Amino acid sequence: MNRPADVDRTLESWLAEGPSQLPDHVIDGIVRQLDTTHQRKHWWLPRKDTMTRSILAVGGVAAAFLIAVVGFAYFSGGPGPNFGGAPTPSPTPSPVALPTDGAVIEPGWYSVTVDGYRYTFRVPNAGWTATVVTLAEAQSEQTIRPNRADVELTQGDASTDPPDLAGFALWGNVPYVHEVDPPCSQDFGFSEYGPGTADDLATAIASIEGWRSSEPTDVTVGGYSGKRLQLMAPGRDKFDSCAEGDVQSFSDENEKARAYEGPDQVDDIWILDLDNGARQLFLITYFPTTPAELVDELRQIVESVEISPAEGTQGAAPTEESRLIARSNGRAVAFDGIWESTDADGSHQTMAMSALPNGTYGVTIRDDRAAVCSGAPSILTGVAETNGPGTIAIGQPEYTCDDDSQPRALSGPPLEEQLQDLSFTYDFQRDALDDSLGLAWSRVVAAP
Amino acid sequence: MDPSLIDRAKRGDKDAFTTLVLSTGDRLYSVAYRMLRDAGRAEDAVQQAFLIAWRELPKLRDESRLEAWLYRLLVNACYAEIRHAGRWQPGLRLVTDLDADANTDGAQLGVDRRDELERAFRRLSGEQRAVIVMHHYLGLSGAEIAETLGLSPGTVRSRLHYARQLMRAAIEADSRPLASGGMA
Repeated sequence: MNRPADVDRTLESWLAEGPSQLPDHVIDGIVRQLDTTHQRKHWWLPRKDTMTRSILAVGGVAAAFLIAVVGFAYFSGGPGPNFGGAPTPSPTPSPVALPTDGAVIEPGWYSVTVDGYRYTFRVPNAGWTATVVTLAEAQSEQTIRPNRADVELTQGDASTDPPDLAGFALWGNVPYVHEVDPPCSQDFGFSEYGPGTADDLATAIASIEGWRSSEPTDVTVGGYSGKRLQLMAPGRDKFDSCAEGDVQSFSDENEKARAYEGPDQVDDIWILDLDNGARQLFLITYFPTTPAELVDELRQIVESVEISPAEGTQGAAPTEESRLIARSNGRAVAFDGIWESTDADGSHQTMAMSALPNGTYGVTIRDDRAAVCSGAPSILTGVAETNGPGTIAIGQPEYTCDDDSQPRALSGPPLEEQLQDLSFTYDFQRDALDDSLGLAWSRVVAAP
Repeated sequence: MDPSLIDRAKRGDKDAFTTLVLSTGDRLYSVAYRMLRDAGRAEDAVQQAFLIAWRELPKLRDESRLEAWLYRLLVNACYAEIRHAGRWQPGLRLVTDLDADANTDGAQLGVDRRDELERAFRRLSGEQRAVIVMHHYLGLSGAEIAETLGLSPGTVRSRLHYARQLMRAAIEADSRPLASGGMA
């Protein structure tokens, strides 16, 4: 019998064999893909190296701009929920364009135009600093979306514990709603594909496990209807179990995550359905210790918002994303349609995906020359369910050969095992699907 | 690792990130190859790990732990490769130049023994392969492996124990004289 030391030496000698240099073509591939892989940004994270908070949105397409208002809040006693109030009748505003250079702004009406919509709002009190991130600057921060603007209003120091801040922001499409408890997001694959309407998104956000929320209620802002709810971040114990920035509730399609600064932080979320099919989020955020006066001021800003198509437009044209996540009976339809791919053995495959009334998808894949059927055509069928962000999977696909032969895997485990949990992940950028077997599927026909 | 380089990469500097890839890529690839025993899949795993690292880098809080974090991402990517290994593909594995090099470098191990080790290792789970490679190739202690992979030291000890038992059985089987009349 070998002694343990001999075994270790043998093992180490064997492991020492083999390549140890990463081929250049792999490095080239990684570098090429950096251009199409966006870094996950955090929103409203305190910076410790500056007294001025800097908030950069890498926002969505539908209404991709951000307004953040951060204030001091050295007070006690927090504001309670304040639902049901009718929007304040708006006077005729004479707005000025929001400054772009970090200037402190005076009380008054301001406007900003993004993606074909003009947003006008009233800032009641002095002290806010506004910055608009220009397109060129945004591009330098890995933004890949054109026709967008980022705006921030800042004031004060948010790096205290607990943070003394409150704010107001606008977000665009939010297709990802997180569902982890505790909500640490250091492990990817933490969210699920979200819905495309205000109602569905509000319901999804209100259902985040481990978070406290109010029931979504109807709301109207600037003539557009939608839903409103309050969401409270987990308390101290859970919050502190996550690294800074890892407590998150949802993300936009660029995977910019809504990250929270402290336990019990409240988001007062207003979600509107715009008439171009896009969705607009207004966020007010504050802490239980934030003075009611400050929160009321932020709510006044939201309630003052007027929305109108920008001059020369009839509202923003539906974006590819908004079209693809448009809803059909409460379900995302990005997967619906006819797809095709080329298999590893060179054969041509066609796939039909069809949304079913219960929220699943019927899937049929036709392979014109299946190696596992000795070259005969084959059909794979199954029902796919959502099982991750932009992903659906078939638990147990059925596979049959047209010539009635028994399909057999050419290598590895039995075919049934290889096909188990066959999944498809939708890629917005390419309007394509990637399956868990390594094949890419391109769209042939979209769902009507 | 230069903290300013990591900081620049966190803020979206692709050149800085490329420098990080160049400085850590070989080590990650070495680990991936040893876990997966396949050059192509090791390349895929490394690429996947680096792209996830790029995407998630702004969340990295302790920059001194970059390399450990990269190893963790890599091991997760290797797990995914192992899970997806059963894809439709020709039954014969292509022998790459790198594989050929691998088969000629270790002159001290016989072909039979190497085959036994290869077979035994492929029977290990991804989790067992990870601890074997990290301990016997990288030379990490159980505590270091636990910290890198986010596991408890007890779990690492357990995985290492059972993985080594399996590998040891393979080595000992190879050292026994062949019985006559056995099944081919």
